[in-house]
Amino acid sequence: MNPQMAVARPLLMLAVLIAALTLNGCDYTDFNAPGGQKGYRPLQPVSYSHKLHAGDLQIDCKYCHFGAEKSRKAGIPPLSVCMNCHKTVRTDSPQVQKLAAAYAAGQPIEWIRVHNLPDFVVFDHSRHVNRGVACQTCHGPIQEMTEVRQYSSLAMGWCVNCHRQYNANPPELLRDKHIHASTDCTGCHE
Amino acid sequence: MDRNRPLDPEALVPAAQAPVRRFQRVEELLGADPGIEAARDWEIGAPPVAGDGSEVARRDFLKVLGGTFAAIGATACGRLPVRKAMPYVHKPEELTPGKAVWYATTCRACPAGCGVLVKSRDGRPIKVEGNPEHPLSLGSACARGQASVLALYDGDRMRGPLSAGKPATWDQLQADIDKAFAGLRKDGAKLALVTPSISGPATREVVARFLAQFPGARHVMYDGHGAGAIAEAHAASHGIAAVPSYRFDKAEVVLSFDADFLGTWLQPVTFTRRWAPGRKPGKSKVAMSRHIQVESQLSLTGSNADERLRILPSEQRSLVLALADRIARKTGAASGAPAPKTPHDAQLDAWTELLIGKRGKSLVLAGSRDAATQAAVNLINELLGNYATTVDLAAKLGGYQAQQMPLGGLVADLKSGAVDSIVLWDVNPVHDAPDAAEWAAGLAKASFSLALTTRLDETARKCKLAAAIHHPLEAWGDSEPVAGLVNVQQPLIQPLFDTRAAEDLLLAWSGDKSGMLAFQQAWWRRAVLPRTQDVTQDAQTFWDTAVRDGFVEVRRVGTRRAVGGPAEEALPRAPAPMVPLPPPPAPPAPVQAPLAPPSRVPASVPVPGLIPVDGQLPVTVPTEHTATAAVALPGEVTPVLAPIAWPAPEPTRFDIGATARLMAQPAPPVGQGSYELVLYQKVGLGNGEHANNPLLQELPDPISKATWGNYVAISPATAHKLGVASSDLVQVSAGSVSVTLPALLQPGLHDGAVALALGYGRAAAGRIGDGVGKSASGFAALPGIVKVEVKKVGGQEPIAFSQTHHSYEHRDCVKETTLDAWQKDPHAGNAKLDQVLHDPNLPDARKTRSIWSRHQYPGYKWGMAIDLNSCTGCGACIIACNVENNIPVVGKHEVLVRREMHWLRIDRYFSERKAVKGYDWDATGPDLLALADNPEVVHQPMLCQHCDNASCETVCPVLATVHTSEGLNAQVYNRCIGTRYCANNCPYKVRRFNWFNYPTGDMEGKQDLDLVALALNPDINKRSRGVMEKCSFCVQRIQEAKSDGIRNGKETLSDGDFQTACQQTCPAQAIVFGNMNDANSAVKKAYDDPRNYSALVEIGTQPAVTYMTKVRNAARREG
Repeated sequence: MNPQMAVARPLLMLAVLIAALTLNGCDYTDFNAPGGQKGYRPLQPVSYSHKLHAGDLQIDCKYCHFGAEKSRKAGIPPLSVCMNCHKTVRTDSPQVQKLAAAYAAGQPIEWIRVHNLPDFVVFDHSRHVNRGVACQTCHGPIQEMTEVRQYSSLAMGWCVNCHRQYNANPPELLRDKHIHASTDCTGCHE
Repeated sequence: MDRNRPLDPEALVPAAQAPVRRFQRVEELLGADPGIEAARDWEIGAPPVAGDGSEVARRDFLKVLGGTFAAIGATACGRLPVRKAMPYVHKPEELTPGKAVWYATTCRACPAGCGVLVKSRDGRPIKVEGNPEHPLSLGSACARGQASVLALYDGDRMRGPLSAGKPATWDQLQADIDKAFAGLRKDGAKLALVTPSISGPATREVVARFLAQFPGARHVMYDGHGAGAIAEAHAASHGIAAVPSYRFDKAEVVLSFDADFLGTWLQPVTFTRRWAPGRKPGKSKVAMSRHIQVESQLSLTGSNADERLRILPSEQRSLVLALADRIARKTGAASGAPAPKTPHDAQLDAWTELLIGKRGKSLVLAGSRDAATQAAVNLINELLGNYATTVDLAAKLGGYQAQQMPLGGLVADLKSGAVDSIVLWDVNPVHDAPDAAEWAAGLAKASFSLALTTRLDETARKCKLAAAIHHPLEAWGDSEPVAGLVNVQQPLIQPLFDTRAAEDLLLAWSGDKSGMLAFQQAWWRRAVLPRTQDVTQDAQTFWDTAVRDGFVEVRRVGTRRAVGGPAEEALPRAPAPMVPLPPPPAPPAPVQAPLAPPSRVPASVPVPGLIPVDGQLPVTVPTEHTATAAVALPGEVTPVLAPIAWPAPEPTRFDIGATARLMAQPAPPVGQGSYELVLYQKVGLGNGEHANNPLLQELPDPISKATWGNYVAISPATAHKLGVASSDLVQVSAGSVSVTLPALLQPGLHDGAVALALGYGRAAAGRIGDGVGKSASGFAALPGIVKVEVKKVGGQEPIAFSQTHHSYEHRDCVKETTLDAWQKDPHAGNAKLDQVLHDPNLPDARKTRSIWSRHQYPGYKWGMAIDLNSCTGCGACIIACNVENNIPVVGKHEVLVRREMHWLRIDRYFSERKAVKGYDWDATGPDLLALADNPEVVHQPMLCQHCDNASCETVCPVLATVHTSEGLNAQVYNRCIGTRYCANNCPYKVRRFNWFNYPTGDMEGKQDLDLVALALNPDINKRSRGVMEKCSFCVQRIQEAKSDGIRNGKETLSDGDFQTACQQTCPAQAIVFGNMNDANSAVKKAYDDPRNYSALVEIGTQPAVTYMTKVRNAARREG
């Protein structure tokens, strides 16, 4: 091997490595750091407005997200729930016509998931909802959002902080019940 | 109460007892296997095996390192992947995403017929549990039942019909079948239908209708379980060819000749549930039941007996006859049977006294396939007055109607051409019949052979046509496992593959295309509803309730002679076609139209018509119109087989003459050779039907603790004589039949016998089961008692043991005593140290010396107590834990290098008292082999002990294992960096390390992971490579119960709100789990029992899991 190559090869490798690490850095702060998805606002296949339904029309959140009281998952409503009203309401809207077409074809709407927790975290909606935690505590002013965005960081520190604050100063309603917001690992990691 | 005390070794040896020597492997006694001790130096995992590809050269390491950098650069740049959320279009009413729905159905993993509840998450069945309301299972399930859910997602199932071995369409298959059936309708005698035992009212009618088209066709019921001799003996003694129910709960003495009723015999779950309560010494000091086992090979049942006698297989018949003779003389009845001398007269005399003292409260059993032995057992039970108390002949077992070989000469007829058309439904005689080779030859000669089967097994491969049928979790059906108990089997999922229900096919071939659901509903209204207590109830309500409950209790059908009909149940004595059928009312129209294809809906959509266990019944208005509309039977309703009037069971009279004649049958011939051969079935695999289920292949044998394959079991003394060591290859041969397998030194096996497990060496089980072990079925074809020669052939083949992988450094975890000693002192056998800890007079300060600050448990403190008296070692908990917690199967090689992942293992100890007195505690050598001739056995489930002073928590550098406020030792997978310090420091060796990324590549590539993924529990993480894992006390169940409690206004959980997976399934109810802060909880009561002790209490870990001292109902053996 000639001496030039002996110098050049490690340099080349170093350059590749630096390039790789630079590329690797893109969007790191936005998406891959804990809580980095705050503000995520994907474009949905149907431009459904929470502001209109939950805000202006004051439809209860749990009319559509009926799993929130019963299950870990609040759930995205089945198309049939949309069609309860939209068989007759605003059938001229192009967005509602999208729904109707999918309904007729028996195809679900492929919504884009806004709130993504890692697989090793379990969040139980029912427990929080049944304890009186309002949807807005985590989801923010959802009734004002035309397009849903992730309001809170959903990072572990954010969760634990709330639990600690609760334990330090429990709300009036639950104070007598000695209800404790768990800070055990097993509360969320099973 | 606290258990932390300074170490005081003197206090640990109970003064009143002789020392007990315990060992796990015979090699420990011989001191002959340095490998065991050497391996113990490796705390977790074995050193890399040379040549297995796991050693890495420096250059390779650098290359991989460079590649890794490149990969990071290439992949990490992307944004978060877009995840979609796809809701239902129409959500099924009973389903809430994220919540499980439970459906009642019937387990089909064996013929026992346990009722089960199956957990369905988002339309996928993911867990099988016993149905608590079902009289047979009472909520328990065995290892096979627990594992059966994985068989649904087995990628080696048939995915569509085959014709001559090539994929075909159902239309093509139907055309061939139509052609054959058209000819057979004229000459039905040429057709035979072979099935397992058919007991359900609707299923029996389906079969009868099918056969009615072919006058003279025969129906043969066949299985590999061999209970036919019991039925044959009862045909002689009581005139009823039936296998009775056994009431172990009413028996104070159980004497079993080679019947492995806790492991593999008839209804192991039911029998264990009935046997176990009598094994707990109660507060009132009522004596425990006494269990005597007489057998050649150490079975699961034998390992739990109070007294065990080793005999040769050839001695069994004479022993039973001699016992019958003694009892007949003592009770004044003339038996007329010969009274042979035996070498065990002392035991026989003692048993005679014991049994006669417990008339009506004793039970004598035999597992023998010899009808004379069974007849003698019947005579004994009759003389002891056990019929109607412990032996219930009216409650005959529907799952065990199979005839004795040779099945009415069916195979001979096949070979001669007298039968040239055969339909085999869910049977595999080419694998598990003793005359398997004859079957293969017979099937080859048949002009029409059709297998209705879920997998392309040995038999299906010999058939011209193979129709792929549903897994039982995809199909409707019914069964009557015990007379008077009718089970529903309902589908939980749309068919995964292009399969059909066998019942639908048979119905369609009889001209009824409405399908099994409609037929079953209508037939139940006709044949089951009139047998219920409330015959006036609305038919739809009746059906809905039955489907929701999973079973109906009804009046028993007469066992002798149906009104105006032929003997319905009694099998003909002579081999002959089974049930003579009346001619059908009208010849059904031949099937012309092709079957309607099943609608292909996504597998995640539940099947309509199901009613979950806790669901609301559909509201029905009981009007005439609704009732008829709902159950209108398509086509005619004329019954072909079952009578409409149900006579009550007739009282039976014991026919002593016929019994004596059967007992006097000539004894089976004894072959030529040096050692008698014992063929037995494994608890997990049965006769091999579960060979392709990796969970069961990796389930350690309860006695030998071997996984993945069979072996030649030889007694230690015989092995020593032959110069055979463990894992040495030996050849077992009898005439032209021979098999070469590694040897296993099996304590408790008779010195004159060797034992081989059946069910291995499958040729067509699937990718997982093929070639595991070797087939011993060649020996089963030999007549009488087989004698073999055993010869060392050189070379070794390692056996994948799961035990001795985890060493306690000779610390003793087991405590045991005898009933006498326990009655005198409830602390007997329990170390003094624990007595001190239980002493209420001592101040707490003396009990709680510790350098650690104590944990505070303001709310719950979860704890577990395991009763060593109840635990039989059956392994159901291991599989329940595997399925609940997504524990990967690792395969034989990984077990060999000690990387099995079972969170819960059952340690089996052999112990012996008699030879130990004055013996050097650490001595080894052949003299000690006497210890191993008939040792006592203790089974100890070992799982994470959730210690208060946990050794693992103090050494984890990243706080990945921490203590929770409820006493759990939590393992936080996403924090774990895989140092394995915790596993090294754990004194119980219950932590498991993920050496590979099992979720994405396991089992040597033999599983279809996309299918297997459907069986995963979504509430649990799948752990990836480099992460430590262990028992979590089913924390997901705790959390779910808490959420449910909050929703339902129950703030504090108590016993019964949830159970851990192991506790839930335990057929012996050995495991108690609950809140130790609750004074009323069962676990707190168990904890305060004098029998309660902590394993390795002397090291001060303060475990949350405690054990109850084993008490044996036997006098201590003296040397």
